[in-house]
Amino acid sequence: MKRGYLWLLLACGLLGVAAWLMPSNDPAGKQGKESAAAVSFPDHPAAADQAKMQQRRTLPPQAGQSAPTAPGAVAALPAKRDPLLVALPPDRELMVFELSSFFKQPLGQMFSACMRSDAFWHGFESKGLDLGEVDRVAVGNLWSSERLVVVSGNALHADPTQMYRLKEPTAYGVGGQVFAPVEPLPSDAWTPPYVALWNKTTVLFSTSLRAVHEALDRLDGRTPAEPAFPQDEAYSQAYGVVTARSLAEAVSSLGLSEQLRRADLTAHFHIAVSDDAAIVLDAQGSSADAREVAKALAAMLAAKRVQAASAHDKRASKLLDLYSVMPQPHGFQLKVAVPLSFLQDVLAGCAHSDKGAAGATRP
Amino acid sequence: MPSALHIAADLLREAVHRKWMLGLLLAITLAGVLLGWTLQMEVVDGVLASTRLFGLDVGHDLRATDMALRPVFSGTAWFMYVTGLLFGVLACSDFAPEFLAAGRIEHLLALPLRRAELIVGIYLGVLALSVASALYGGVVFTVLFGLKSGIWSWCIVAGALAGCLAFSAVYAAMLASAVFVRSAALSSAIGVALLFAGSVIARPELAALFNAGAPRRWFTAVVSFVPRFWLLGRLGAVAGGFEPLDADLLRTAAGTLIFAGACVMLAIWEFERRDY
Repeated sequence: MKRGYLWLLLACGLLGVAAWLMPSNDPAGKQGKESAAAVSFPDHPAAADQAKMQQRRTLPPQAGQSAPTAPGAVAALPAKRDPLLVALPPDRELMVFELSSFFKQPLGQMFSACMRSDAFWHGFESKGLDLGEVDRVAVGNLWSSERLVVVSGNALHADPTQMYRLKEPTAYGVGGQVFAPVEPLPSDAWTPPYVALWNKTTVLFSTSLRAVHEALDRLDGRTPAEPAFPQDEAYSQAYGVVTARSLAEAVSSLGLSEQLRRADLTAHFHIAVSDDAAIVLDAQGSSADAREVAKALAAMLAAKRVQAASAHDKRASKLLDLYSVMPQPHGFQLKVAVPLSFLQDVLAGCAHSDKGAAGATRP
Repeated sequence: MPSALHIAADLLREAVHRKWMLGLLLAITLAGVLLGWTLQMEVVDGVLASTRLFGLDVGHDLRATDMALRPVFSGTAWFMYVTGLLFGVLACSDFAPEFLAAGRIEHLLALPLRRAELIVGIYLGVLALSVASALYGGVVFTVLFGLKSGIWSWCIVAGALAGCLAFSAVYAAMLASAVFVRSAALSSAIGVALLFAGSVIARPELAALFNAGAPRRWFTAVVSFVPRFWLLGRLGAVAGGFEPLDADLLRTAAGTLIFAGACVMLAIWEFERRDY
């Protein structure tokens, strides 16, 4: 063989090796190699959420109410209302949980422990209410002595007398039945002795008979009431409104408490939970406070990221990489994906700090 | 192979005297100076509080500085990768045809060097030129961003060097074409065609357009040896720690180098059997 052909042979051989080394471009061979999907922040309702929101609006519009329309637009029919959001008292703070998807997650269980209502949920499960029938649980008047818990479902088979020692029910309004306690109120304010059923779709619990009556009045339309939370924002596994002060209590272990407590802010939050949690928080209030808190939050999250990286916690570090704090004219939007371990630390601190203060209400 | 190095040095001397080389260095320097003047970053407690470019606010959200700069770093690394490749294809296409031009080639062949050394010398000279330009551009932008933000990431240099790696394959194919047909235009066209093939045609998405079975198998076989340039561009982000280093990337890098070697051997084979 001529020496020149050696180069040709070598070239062909190397081309073969190159072809063998190059990753396959066969799409069939690429299946399953895609990286894990990015965290999806609950910053807008998905199509399924929209459908669910519409489905839940079963209360007729408030009498004399017309839906807001843009100038020049044809007047739209007033919107129907979501009973759970109407039953909640108009308060600065409230929380709504999609029971089926949130409280079955580890984070949901931790959260319920943080609310110190374990006995309450346990009472549900073991006695008068099948949790499988429950759709959502909401808490209003969070820090007042008239706290109201609203449980909703499609067809609830609840027997409150199985849960607590209650008297026989008395009818109230169109579809309401109210159960009063046999004995005087216990000292633990988290135990809700007044229970009301409304149309087999809603169960109300409160330490205050007045709060229960007011909720039934709103549901029956005797008292004009707008939903306590914007109906178009009722999506994700947990959502609601909190003040900066409550937030400071909840995340006291993060070292932001003072700044948050001083700030005059109200925040709408949405939480999507899987193995980890994606949180979107829209805070509104005084611009100066918002700017200060936004900077403090961004710096705190940056520090947490560095801590996670130096502890070689790749998952936490990767999730915390995704945070962003977007200043807005009168507030800010925080988006943060946090690993379960991180939330465990935060909520464990919250549960500990509340122990020993059972029954205490916020000043 | 010292004779090949002499040829490479000869090529570099020739490049230095060309105006486009000075133009390239001037363009990189000017871009750096302009960015240095117009880019302002405010970093507070490790958080990038604001960024202004040409006096305009860009990016309003508060994020950790390194996170906020990730898109900037990886974007610049990609920019260095792509512009390095394109500039290399367009600017280096006439080196080999000029070395092989009638009159000059006879002179070179009269020198005491083997034909293979001449080809390897031209190839190494162009690669050295590409690496020097990439290093200069990469270092200028890295130092600039480092001084402005306090974040030092070598991903821009890595992106520029990834461009050199990809260019090593492209130029090897261009060199082989110049040996077969002494034309700068054809050499350039081969470079652009290989770039297109490695960036678009060899992608799995395109293979998916073929019917499963024989048509797709044939297509996959034909493009199997084409370097995956879209994967190599990730090297910058990998060097910056923004993306994980995976086996596909390593295989592509090795395959690209071997493809370059194969093309150079093809050029040598053709050059060895030619009469000048």
